[in-house]
Amino acid sequence: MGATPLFFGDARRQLYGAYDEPAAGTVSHDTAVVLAYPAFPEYNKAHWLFRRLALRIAQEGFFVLRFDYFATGDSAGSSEAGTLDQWVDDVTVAADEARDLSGARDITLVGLRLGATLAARAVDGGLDVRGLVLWDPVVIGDDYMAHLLARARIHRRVRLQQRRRPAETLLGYPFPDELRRAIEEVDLRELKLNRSRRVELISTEDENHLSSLAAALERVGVPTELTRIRLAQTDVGGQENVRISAEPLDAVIEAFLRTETT
Amino acid sequence: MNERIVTFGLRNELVGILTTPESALDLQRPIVLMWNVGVNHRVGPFRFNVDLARHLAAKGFATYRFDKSGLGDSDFRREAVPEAESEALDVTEAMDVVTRRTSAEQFVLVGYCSSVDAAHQVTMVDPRVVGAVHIEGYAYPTPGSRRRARRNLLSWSRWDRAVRRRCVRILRRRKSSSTSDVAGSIYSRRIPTQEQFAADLATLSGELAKPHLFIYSSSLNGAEQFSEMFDHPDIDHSRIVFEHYADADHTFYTVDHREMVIRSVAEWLANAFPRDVHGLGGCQMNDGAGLA
Repeated sequence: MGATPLFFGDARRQLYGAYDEPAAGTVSHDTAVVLAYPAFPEYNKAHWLFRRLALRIAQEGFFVLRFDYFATGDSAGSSEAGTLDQWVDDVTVAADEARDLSGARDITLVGLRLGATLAARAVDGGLDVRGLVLWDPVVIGDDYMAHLLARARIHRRVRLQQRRRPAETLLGYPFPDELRRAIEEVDLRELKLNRSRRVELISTEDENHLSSLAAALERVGVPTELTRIRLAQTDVGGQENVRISAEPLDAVIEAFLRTETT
Repeated sequence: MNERIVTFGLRNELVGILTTPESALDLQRPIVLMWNVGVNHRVGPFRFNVDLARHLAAKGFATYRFDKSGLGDSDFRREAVPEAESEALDVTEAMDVVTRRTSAEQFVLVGYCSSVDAAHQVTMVDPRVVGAVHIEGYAYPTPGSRRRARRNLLSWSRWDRAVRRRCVRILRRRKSSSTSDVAGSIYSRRIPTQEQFAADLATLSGELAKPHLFIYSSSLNGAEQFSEMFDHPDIDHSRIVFEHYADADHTFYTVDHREMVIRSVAEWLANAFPRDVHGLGGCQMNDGAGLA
């Protein structure tokens, strides 16, 4: 059975989402899951991956909602209108919607790349969750921006455009200065994630500050596990050269299921 | 502008978004259909389909963007449909559901790269399709394009593009399973020969009187290549509009280029299908099945 699409949230800023329900006859749980997409070119790369992830989690007996942030995908808003704070709020709106639709008491957030960062920020901002699965999160915003800018330099036409309209576009996407500054200020190690009963970190990269993030979480008493995965292949579709791969799916599912046992 | 989710298919397994202007729908104007570019989901590269749909709504045109079977949020069809006919069937049934929802009976299909295959196939045979847009559609080498290529041997931009394309091809051979398992099963093309497409264009522009807009990037080696490719005596050029963005790449990577393409599509639609000035062809939406 395919996912059920819907619009939800404030009608003036409606968000698009799609949810998967446990199949009839399977044991369903009192936790609903919200998947938080990555952004920019990683969003397109991850769309199919998230559909598979949602289906697999639903097969384990969980309600799963994935959604487009404001000003992305099919949600309302022109592409240059997105802000990091808005996207963090959207995670909370999606969590509320998932509870309403499923009747579940608890929420677990599973985020990939910037989506993981947004999920963590939502918890830091007051969203209570059962679990937080952060898959290759953006820990340090400066590093993420450096990565995006390095990718952009590969494309000559973008360099030309950046000379004409500097700091307004990046990797083919509208990229206002405010968004750039907000990303540069990100440091997940400074967040308080005590509202999550457990944090699972999935890492496919060698150096990404996840060890220091895990240590920071442990210091404040948040049960945390870090899983490192070495990818057999690098997914390099086109010029974006981002590491979005289906290889960690099993590990992500296992990490999610561990949040259910806490 | 209003947006509604409209599903279709035997199990409502195919998903799309119907975008309509604020005012009553003008049934004298066709509804514009667009769907997946390659294996990307329906929003399109850099959200192109979304931006196009919303821009067209502001100009008075309704659109329906949808995921074909098995892509994006659409589930695979369970019924047995030959692969070569699946996408065309999706387009045809998309038109059916939009008609049920809006009473509109005329459509313009927007094909972008691989989706021009089904756009062209359906435009040829379905009388409801009154025109089409081909973005980065069919391109064939010509004696003129080969001559220009030889003259451009010393062109930095030519080598730059060639090297990048080569690098991308090499790197893509190492693609992981995140999309390749999808691509292998549902991303196959049947491209007409140059002669066949030219003959089709003669039929479309002449006997069938279906206007077409063709938009190309630097994928064409010079604007002359278009007329060289489709040099058929029976093509009615009064119904063919060609635009060439020589400094754009295949995905219209920059915001500026995409904005220009979107404006081009909107202007062409407005010229080819002017507004119902007497206001007699409007309709209100039907709130019916298949909505979310």
